[in-house]
Amino acid sequence: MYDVVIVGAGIAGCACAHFLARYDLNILVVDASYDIATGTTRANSGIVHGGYDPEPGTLKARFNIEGSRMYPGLARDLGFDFRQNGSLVVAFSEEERPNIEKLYARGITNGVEGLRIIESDELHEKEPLLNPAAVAALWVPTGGIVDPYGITLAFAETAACNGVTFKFDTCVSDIRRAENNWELIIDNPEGTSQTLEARIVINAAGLNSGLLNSYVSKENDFKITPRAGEYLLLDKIWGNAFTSTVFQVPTAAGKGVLVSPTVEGNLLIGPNAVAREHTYETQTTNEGLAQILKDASKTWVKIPAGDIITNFAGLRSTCVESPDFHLGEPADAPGFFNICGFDSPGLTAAPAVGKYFAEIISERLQAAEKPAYIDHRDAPRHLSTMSDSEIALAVAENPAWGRVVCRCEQVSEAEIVEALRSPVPARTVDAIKWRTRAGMGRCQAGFCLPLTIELIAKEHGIELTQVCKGSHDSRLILGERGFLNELPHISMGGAC
Amino acid sequence: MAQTLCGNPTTFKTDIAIIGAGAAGLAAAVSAYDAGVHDIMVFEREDAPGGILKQCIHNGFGLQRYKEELSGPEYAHREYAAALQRGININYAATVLSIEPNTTLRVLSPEFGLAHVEAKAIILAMGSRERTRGALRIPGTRPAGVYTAGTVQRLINLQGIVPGKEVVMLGSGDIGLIVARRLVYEGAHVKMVLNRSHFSGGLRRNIVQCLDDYGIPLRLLQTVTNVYGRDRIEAVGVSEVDKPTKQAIPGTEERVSCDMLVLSVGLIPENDLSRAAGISLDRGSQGAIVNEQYQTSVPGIFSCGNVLHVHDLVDFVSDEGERAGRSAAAYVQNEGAPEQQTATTRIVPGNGVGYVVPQLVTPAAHDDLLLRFRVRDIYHKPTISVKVDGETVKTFKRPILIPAEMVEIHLNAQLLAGHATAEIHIEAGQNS
Repeated sequence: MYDVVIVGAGIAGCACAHFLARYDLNILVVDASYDIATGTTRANSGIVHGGYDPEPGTLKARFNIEGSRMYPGLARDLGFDFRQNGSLVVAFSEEERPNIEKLYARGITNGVEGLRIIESDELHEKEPLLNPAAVAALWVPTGGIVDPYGITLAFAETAACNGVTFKFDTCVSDIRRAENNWELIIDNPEGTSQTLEARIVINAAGLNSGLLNSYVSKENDFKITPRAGEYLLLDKIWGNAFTSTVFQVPTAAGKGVLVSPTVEGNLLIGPNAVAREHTYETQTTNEGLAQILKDASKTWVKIPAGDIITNFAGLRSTCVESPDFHLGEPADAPGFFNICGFDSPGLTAAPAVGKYFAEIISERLQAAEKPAYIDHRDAPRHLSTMSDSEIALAVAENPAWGRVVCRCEQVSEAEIVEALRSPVPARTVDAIKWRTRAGMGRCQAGFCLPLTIELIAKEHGIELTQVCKGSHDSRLILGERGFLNELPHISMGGAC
Repeated sequence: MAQTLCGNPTTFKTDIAIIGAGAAGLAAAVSAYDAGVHDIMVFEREDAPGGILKQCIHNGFGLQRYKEELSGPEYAHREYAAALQRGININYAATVLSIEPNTTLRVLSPEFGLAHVEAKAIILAMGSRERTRGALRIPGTRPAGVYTAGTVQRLINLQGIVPGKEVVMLGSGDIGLIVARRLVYEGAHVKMVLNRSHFSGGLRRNIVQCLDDYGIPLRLLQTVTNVYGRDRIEAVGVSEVDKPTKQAIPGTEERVSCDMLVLSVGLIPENDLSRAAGISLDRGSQGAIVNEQYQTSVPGIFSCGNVLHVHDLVDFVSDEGERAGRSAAAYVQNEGAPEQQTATTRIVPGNGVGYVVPQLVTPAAHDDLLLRFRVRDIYHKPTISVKVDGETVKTFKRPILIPAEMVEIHLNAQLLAGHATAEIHIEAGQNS
């Protein structure tokens, strides 16, 4: 019997786990995937929004503002990459100026600090590569950029250090009432199933949160639509091309795309918004990517397309019919806490929602605060940001710091091993990539993949052929040399 | 070598520091040694010498240099043996993190920790990397099973593991062709090799020996326009390419099932260190701009091999390494070469030429000046002309020029003396 089962190890679920871990509760986080943050959290713009955008009075407005205020302190205490670089919402003609003025007024109503409309001279001095046609912009000094995976990992690791259990590859296929508690039916990857019991369930299942809600509630009926956002990522040589996150002011013609530095030092362009049928459809499309490039050229006229190193798409968990966040208990399912429709500004709002839920739930369960609670995490060390004397000392203590595995991002073996031994261990190549950046650079893992799979196999005691890219069906290596000799010449079936 | 026991970087002083112990770096080290500079440090990020040759277990190496046919490891071993014989200091698992001012390197290794290597000259011999799916902007899902050809070669030949068995390959560069054959040897089914342009980027002999001999179809003017599959790749979308615009033709996509997509779409000189150090690069070659001494825009830093421009034969890489090694030795012996930038001649790629190395020729150039370049298209019976101030001063005839094969011409440097620019120009022959 668990006090709280959190379904979903994205930013929302891990934020709840982090804040609930303060209390003397038996907490379990389950996720259908192989790692934290594999859904909506993984692939988005990584923007901490100032809060000028949501309609005043909505949950989005409230938690956006509260969340954005929490970020600087959390980044310091939990050691994840966050930079308050400021956002610009740019008007590219005098006709577009009223739109930024409208956002300015809305921001003031929402309580956003430091908003200012800046004129052409100041704007172009701030961003020299910005389209010369830009006339003015809304300057949002509280806007920031974050590594969404990084903050989620920080939440998960502190939660784990405080006793929260994480279970991956664990899919919840049904939830039933069992007296005053909840019974969760779990499908394991091996095809078996089991039942878990919980006093409280938090539905932080992102794209599947509508489905999960439908297991317990008839009244609170809503549907989550996966809406894809496609992105292009530019080489680090362009990481300083823009210092602020540059939005195009929304017009009747569209919401526009953003051009933004990332905390890792690349430059991000995107997203668009395309409805998709299934929750796994994270493919990119030729048309989508071409359109993004075209739209972004409004911000940056001469985008160096030759320096694009990769493209990707993420899915937003949007509730199209009622686009505000759906937070809290449905009337017919007390003890079942929804975090649904958690699209933008979900990343910004998550810490505030997690804190809010932790307060309500701890009170409901009359849980006391733990006497010994770890509220600090040292930022993971990265070779690429360490000083020469820090590196020298690190190698003297552990020679693995001197062995570079990923040359493009300068990631050492020690960093990879640390990720493999984390309180919430990385188990796959993708998990290593998100945690250490190994394989994220120019060569896109061409050189480091063979080394990374050896480290994963060694640390987790598995064969090279069992190492996966991500999900447990994504094996990277089909067999050892010679394995095909035992098969007919051309095998069409799955030999593994 | 002293172990670092505290948080202080070590300092090494040396005459010549060489980045990379592949074909270029080893040849540079040996030739610099033979030219009289014995204080040399080579830094190699892997645990063994030879660079990419280690995984090239096929033969065909060394026909020019050794007049016999060797495998990659055999070729590497000969180069390594020469360095070993001279007692040249090669540091393994040693990664150069950056090139600092005053020909200094920041090097990291598990053995000596972080070191500042103060050299009198540096030779860049870092080789190249492969172009990736991201650089091609191939849309679709991001499943397991998409690899570059060199990575596949390494997995099979050095790690003994096979990443796929129903294979579609995009691009027909030499590594790709060799890997296609290698996959067939492992029992995999290579369904097709696609090539966006109307000619292959691979050597003719490789197309015959690796594709034709095994009945693997080479489909010209076709490319991959989609990747399908959630966890492991299940299929690719293959589209026809419009020859004049080089763009995929919408509506022509055919779904081809596979469990691996191999990319062999070109190599990129690995100049991240050079770029960060402010060394001027040539957009055409994607390597450093060098003079006939293989010296870059930063005095005392030389470049050779695939980091300077992508070669098709290792024999020429070794040759270039030797030239750069001799130049670096002379630079050290003369305590820096005199600045003569004013009277240099710039070599410009003219019609049909992608790039020329070296890009600059100084008045100190010998009578026998070697120029290497690549053409952009196939030319039958072409004429190569060297033009100064619009006037042709020298012509060369060749039976055929193809983009896959680097072209060499030897020129009397006197022809260029006093001219600001010289242009290399290709004219198609009668029967094109």
